[in-house]
Amino acid sequence: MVLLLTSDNEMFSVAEDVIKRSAYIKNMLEDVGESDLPIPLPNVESNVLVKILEYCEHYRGEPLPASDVDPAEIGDRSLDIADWDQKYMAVDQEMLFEIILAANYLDIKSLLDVGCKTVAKMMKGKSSEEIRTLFNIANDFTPEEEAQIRKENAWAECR
Amino acid sequence: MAIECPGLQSFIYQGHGSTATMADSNYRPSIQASLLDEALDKLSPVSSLVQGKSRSNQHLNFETPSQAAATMSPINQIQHINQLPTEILARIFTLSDYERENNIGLLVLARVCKIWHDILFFFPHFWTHLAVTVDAKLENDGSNLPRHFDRWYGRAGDMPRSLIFIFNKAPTQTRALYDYLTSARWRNLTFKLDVGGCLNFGWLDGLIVQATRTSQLRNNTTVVPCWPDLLSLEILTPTTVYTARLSLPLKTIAPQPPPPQNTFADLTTFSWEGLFPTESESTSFVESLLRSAPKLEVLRFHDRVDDIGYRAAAVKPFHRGIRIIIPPGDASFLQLALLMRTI
Repeated sequence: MVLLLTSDNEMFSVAEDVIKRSAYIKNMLEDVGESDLPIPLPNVESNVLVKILEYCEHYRGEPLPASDVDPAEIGDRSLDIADWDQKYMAVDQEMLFEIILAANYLDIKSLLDVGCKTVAKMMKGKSSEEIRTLFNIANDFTPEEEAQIRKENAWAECR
Repeated sequence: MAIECPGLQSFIYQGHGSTATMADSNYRPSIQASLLDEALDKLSPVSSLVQGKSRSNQHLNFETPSQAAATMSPINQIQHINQLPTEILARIFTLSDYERENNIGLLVLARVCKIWHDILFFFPHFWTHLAVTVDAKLENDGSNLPRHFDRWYGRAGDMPRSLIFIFNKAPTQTRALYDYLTSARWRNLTFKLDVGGCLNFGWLDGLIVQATRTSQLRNNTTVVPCWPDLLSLEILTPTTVYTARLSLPLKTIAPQPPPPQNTFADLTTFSWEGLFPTESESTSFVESLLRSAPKLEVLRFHDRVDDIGYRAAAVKPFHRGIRIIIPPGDASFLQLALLMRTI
């Protein structure tokens, strides 16, 4: 078992083959060897780690992807998401961003990929204004800046 | 404290403070900032706008787990998409901009807010691909396209470029466009003919001729390909009849493998009006045409082919759909195409 200590000082004990889906933890275990001491995760809160572990547990036993292979780098730019992953990602925006952030920190590429695809799908087909509304983003362009951007790229938009 | 985690079989909660050994350890994280962050730090307009970018870039390395200290304090939860690190936002944008024949997605994202705009303009890879549909306006602004291309691809720096040219109207031959296309560094070129009722793709033929000339003009003694980095050349047409004056001397203009991709899924008639392609490069073009045109029935060559010396009657037919080859004697060329692949 591997002990993990979250940023809010919660302790988790997790099976090694579950948490090794995190390349970050896997490398740390290989570097340090077996230890009874917890691995601190200062960038992950307990509620997020629970969600992360749910993902790792679901894919327990499945082959680990090559650690240096990024799906986006090998041309997988489709927005297809497996059914279970879609249900898993059916969370509020804050949790979605936290999962993405934790997946990035823990180096779980498949989870990071699912998270990014989920956000990308949310934006698909939406206008700039609709995206601002979706993510509560303020339009910080001046009217002049907005007009300039529109003018520069008008030729590409009408094609 | 109870934490819900359905389906988790190997979860043991031990509670806060049960590992007393951490309390007196020395917590000395060594932060390895990514190269991206270093670059961003130099780019003040971006880095000053992107909040929280360093958070996930800090891969904290401990010499042993015992060096983690209880001094860790909870960090604020992320509440806004713009608190995601820059590289993650860029990754999301990359996924969002996946539509191959549409630039709109990228431009929509660039207009959301300054942070997004700056990120998109910071990463060159967003600007390496462009899809352009040529409509009735080309006759008027064809000479302006190179200027537009320069602006767009200029954001891509030195990265190899790809272009999809979709023709919804038979274009006129625009010298400026030819010059641009035969001088830029292309990785992928796609020409999609989508002109209703138009059977002549003379514009593309003219481009190939220009590419051939350019390759030969660069050096009087040695051929220097004008597209040395070209990895794919696609010629797509949904029409059923294609009339070409096309010779495709790939070895001269674009020597990189693989051979061109030609998707003529519905093509039933191919008419070749130019010099007969006895060059091996053009042979491969015709062969790939035959491979990608399963419905092809009529293959017409308007110029007599020289006797190319292959009369191998034993070569088995390799395109079952072909009914008519004009002139009939040019069937030997098809045999040549097959022989060159199989020997």
